[in-house]
Amino acid sequence: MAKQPEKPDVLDTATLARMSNLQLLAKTVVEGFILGLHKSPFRGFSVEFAEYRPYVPGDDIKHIDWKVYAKSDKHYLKLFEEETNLASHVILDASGSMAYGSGEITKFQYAARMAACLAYFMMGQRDATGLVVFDTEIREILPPRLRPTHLQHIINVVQSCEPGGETDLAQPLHAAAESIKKRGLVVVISDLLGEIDALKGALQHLKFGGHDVIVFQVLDPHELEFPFDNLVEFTDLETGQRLRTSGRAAREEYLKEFNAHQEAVRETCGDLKIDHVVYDTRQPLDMALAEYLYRRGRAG
Amino acid sequence: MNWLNPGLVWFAVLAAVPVLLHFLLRERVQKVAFGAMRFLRKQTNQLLTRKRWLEWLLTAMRALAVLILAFAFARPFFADPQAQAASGTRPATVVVLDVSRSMSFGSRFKDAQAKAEEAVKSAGPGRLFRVVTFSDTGRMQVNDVDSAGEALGLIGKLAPTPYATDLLEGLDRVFAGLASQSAGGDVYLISDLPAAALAANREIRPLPKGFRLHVEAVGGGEKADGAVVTGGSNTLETHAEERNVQLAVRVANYGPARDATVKLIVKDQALDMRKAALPADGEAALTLTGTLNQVGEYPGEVKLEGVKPVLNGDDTFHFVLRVVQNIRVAVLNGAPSADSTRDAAYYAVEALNAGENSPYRAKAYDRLPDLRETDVVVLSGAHKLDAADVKRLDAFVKEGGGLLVAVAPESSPEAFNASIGEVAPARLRLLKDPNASIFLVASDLKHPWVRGVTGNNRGDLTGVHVRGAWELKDSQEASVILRFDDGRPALIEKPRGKGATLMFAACLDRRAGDFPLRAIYVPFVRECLHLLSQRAGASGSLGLGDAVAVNAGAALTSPAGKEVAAKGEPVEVTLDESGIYRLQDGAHTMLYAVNGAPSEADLTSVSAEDVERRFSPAAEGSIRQTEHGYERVLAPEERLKNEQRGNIGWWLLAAILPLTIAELLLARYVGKT
Repeated sequence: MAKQPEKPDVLDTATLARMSNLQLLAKTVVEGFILGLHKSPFRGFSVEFAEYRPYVPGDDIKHIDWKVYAKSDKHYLKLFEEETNLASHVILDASGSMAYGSGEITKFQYAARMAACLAYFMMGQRDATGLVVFDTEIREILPPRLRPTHLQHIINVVQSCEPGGETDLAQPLHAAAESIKKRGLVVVISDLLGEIDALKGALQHLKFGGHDVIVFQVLDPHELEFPFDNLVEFTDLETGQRLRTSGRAAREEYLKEFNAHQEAVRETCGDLKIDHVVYDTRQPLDMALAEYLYRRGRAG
Repeated sequence: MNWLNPGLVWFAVLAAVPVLLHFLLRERVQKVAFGAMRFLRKQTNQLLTRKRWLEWLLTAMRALAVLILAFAFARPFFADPQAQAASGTRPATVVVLDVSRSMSFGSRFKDAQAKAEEAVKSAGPGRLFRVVTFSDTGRMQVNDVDSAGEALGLIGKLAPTPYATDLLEGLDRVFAGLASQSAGGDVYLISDLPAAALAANREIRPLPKGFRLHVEAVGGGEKADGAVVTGGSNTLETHAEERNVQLAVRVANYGPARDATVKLIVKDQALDMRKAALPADGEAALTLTGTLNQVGEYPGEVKLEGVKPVLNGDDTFHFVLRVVQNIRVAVLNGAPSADSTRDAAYYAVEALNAGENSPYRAKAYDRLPDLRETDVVVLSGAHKLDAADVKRLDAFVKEGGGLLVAVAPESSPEAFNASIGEVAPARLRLLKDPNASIFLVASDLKHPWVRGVTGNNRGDLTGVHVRGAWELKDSQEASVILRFDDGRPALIEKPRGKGATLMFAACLDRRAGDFPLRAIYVPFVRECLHLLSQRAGASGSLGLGDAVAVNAGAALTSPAGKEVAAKGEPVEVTLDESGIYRLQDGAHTMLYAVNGAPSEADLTSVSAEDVERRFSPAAEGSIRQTEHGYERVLAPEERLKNEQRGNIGWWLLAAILPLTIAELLLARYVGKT
């Protein structure tokens, strides 16, 4: 018996890191992800024909194509491509801190791939998808569109971005909240390494706009675990400030501060009923897609 | 600072190893461009600086530990600063001159002076000079002078002394005194090298490094021709019942066999005269006897005639004879009673006074009498004494009196121990059964008391038993003469000061059963008193060079009539004349007979080469015999170093432990940072 071809491990971040073509990557990830699903819930009964399928007991008989029955004496259901009016926005943090990466992939690379995958997936679902890239201010803003070329446009923008500048979550998110008029799903991809009060204000603004907000917090394993033991000279990616210290001696204080920050982020998101998901850059991207689907289902 | 093992000092360079390791294994700074710097805002660069300092401190401690170990095993020591200051850089010529009595024979001392002067004159320019004279133990004079002229002046004034020779002690002290002379020099030992003085197998310190020993013998070819007379003791004592004096005399003859006449002269009267056949280079022993009718102290001498003495004074042996009428015994009656069977002193007094010619004059007292007219005190069943009486009794015994303590069965151990126990040879523990009879057994058959009681069939201890036998305690320093048949001490003896004490662990009256009625009782009590009276007033033999303490107000008159009086405070007078010294202390007069050491008359000498060989350093590593066994011969430097082992090496080793602990703690702390 011929050996079944293995399911491509498209979710491996090491593999993804070597793929520079974001569109190809997004396609690979998303299709690989969809292949893994047993039943596609995204075939609806909208206005645009999609395909036929045999009638099974339980199906609504109003969707039976009687013309086909007349010709073939068999019951087939007529399926249509679902068409939504959900506007999705991906807000991508391109601040200097996102340039950090202890492994093969930086936080920004991971976040960019995540944004591309989400855009690909959203567009595939006929969701109008927009993109906002920011550091201390909004660098790029693409309003939601459903045109097939729009995906390429989004990917080009993401691909052309280089992280830099300081993290200022408040001003760009407020600006984004102002610019997004139509209610929809807002996905914020950031390391959230900024002031909590500013973050809270900005997220609140987005929520008040009626958006369903998901926060994907992308962090590097070294930021989570601070595994430095030796003497380390840290250079701030945003300010260029340098600090020489002992990793062992600084770990306790760092983790204490870091965990307090994370707790504050969790509390803020919880208060605002915003879904907050922390991503370690070692994690596969399909987690993000699964989370999106969950949110998308709830919003749709 | 000096080192016992200087080679190990080189291991100190290993202290560089921790420093090298510090540089080689130094933690490199990892450079990280970090995004979450906001969580490190409390960290400062000072932490890194502090860590660097701590690492250097740790490295320094490790290097110090290696240094300390290297230094500790190299055994550093500090030389005596006084000795260093005293030591000159000029070489020394040391003349060690024997001024003992034997050096007065013939022309020995003049020859010795000539050799000493020759040694000084032969010394090169710029030398220091040390003139040392020695005779017997502790009698040494050291004179350091800067010029040969001063040294010759000193040598010219020297004269032989009447003292004996202790050549080994003299050399040992000379060598010790030279240890600080770093420039070395020559040591000239000028002596008649008496074989007797060198016979002792005694180890002395080696000749210090840098010095050369020259031994110059004087009178080596001379042979003694004469005799010397000595007696067994120079103080004899006899009692009224034993007025026949017996004196053992030994005559040593150096030279051919010949006859000599030996006279016993007491108070200028010849009591006895004997002819002695002296063997060639041998000895003759004889006993002289005489009768003295008067009580008192007699200065006497044994005079040798018909043969000349080897050294001046060798033909006369001086002694003091003391004759006493009675031994005065005070018996303190612990239980006076008109009924003799109940009286505690009755039997003891009767036993001592029995017989027309009894040397004892015993009297019973209810209280402790004035002890000035008493030779021996017997506490017969006394339960306790006043503190003042205890003090008087203690002083009495320490001044030479005798004390016999017999314990009554009714005595209270607490009361007895608190008073009489202070002067008795032991204290009381308990009396198990006052009515139990227990036999007496001689513990030491050779003891004079046992021989006095049982000798010549005078008495027999077999079958003698007593009642009321106490168990004694605190008797560790006493010697046991008699035991009870269960092994407990019955009669014990202990010296106290100049006197002696005896303790019988039962009583001497009828409460002890029929013991006072047995034939053994009289010799038992008398021999106790005889033993105690022998000690009373006894003085040791004195020789030339001995010292006598003269109390304030007393005066000591030498045989030549020279008087030394101690006016303000006591003085110590060295006896340097043969003959009779008279010490007048208030109304009390003591006579001391002083004689020279007879060994000085033995002119047998050893060769200078033998002496040089003996005191020159032995080959290093060879094994030699000492009085404690065998030992490896060490180099002089090594010997000196061994003596200087009161060094700081052990302190350095001791410092390693706290340093290691501190290093561990610091390393642990640095590891955490």
